[in-house]
Amino acid sequence: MMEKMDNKSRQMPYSETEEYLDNLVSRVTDKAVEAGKTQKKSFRPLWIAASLAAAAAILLFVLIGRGVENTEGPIDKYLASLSDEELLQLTSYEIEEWEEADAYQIEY
Amino acid sequence: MEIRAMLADPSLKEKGFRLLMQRYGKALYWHIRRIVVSHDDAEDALQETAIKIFRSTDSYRGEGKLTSWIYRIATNEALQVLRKRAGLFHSIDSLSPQLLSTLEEEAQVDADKAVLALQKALIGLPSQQRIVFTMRYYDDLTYEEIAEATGKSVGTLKVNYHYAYEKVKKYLQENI
Repeated sequence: MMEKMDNKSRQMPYSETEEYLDNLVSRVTDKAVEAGKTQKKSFRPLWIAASLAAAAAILLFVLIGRGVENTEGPIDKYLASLSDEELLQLTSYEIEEWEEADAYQIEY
Repeated sequence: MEIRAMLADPSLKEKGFRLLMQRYGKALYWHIRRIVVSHDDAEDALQETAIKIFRSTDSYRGEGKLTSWIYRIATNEALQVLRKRAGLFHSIDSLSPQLLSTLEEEAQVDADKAVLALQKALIGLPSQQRIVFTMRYYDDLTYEEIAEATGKSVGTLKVNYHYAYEKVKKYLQENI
């Protein structure tokens, strides 16, 4: 049976002609060359942009890190100036809670 | 000048690539078509194959045969098409009914019965057996070349080919 198939010289049951396939291969080849060249041209700017972005991110990270370390806002300064006793008083201070109804009661 | 040497020379790379496609383009198309069956899919996979060959000529160090290298890229692209079709939860081999229906749609109305039957028999094979069988039977590649192209051992390929041959023979005996 396979010998019989060999006589069919490896035909395929499709309608694509040699001419059609020659054109297809030629088209595919042109597109591949074009795509290859486009990739090569765009490679350098892309690489430079990626490097710049990475450098900017590192710089930003370093600056923010330093900023966090060095920044001391007015609240920090105020808390630092308090004695332990004063701090204890501050944390044990109870906020007087208003009843919701009272809070929204409008007096004329 | 040899294609391999042309590809290695930047000033001759494009010329070498065009020569390569001129020589093997149609063979690659049929190799892919025998795996994916649909013409549109074969065209897409051939396009991707050509782009990858052209882009990666720099990384091709000339180790192994050039034909094995381009068949490897083409086989991967063809399998990629089938993987996309099969989706995440199904194997490529589960596509057989779909491929069979594509074959029936795209085959010529007056196609030779035996030729058509052989294609049907091939679609019924597990993809690995189908690839080995078609590379041997249609493309005349040696087991060593197929091993380079598929990354499988020669022993495994021989076993796969043997199983494929027996299944195809049986199918043809029953259906012609």
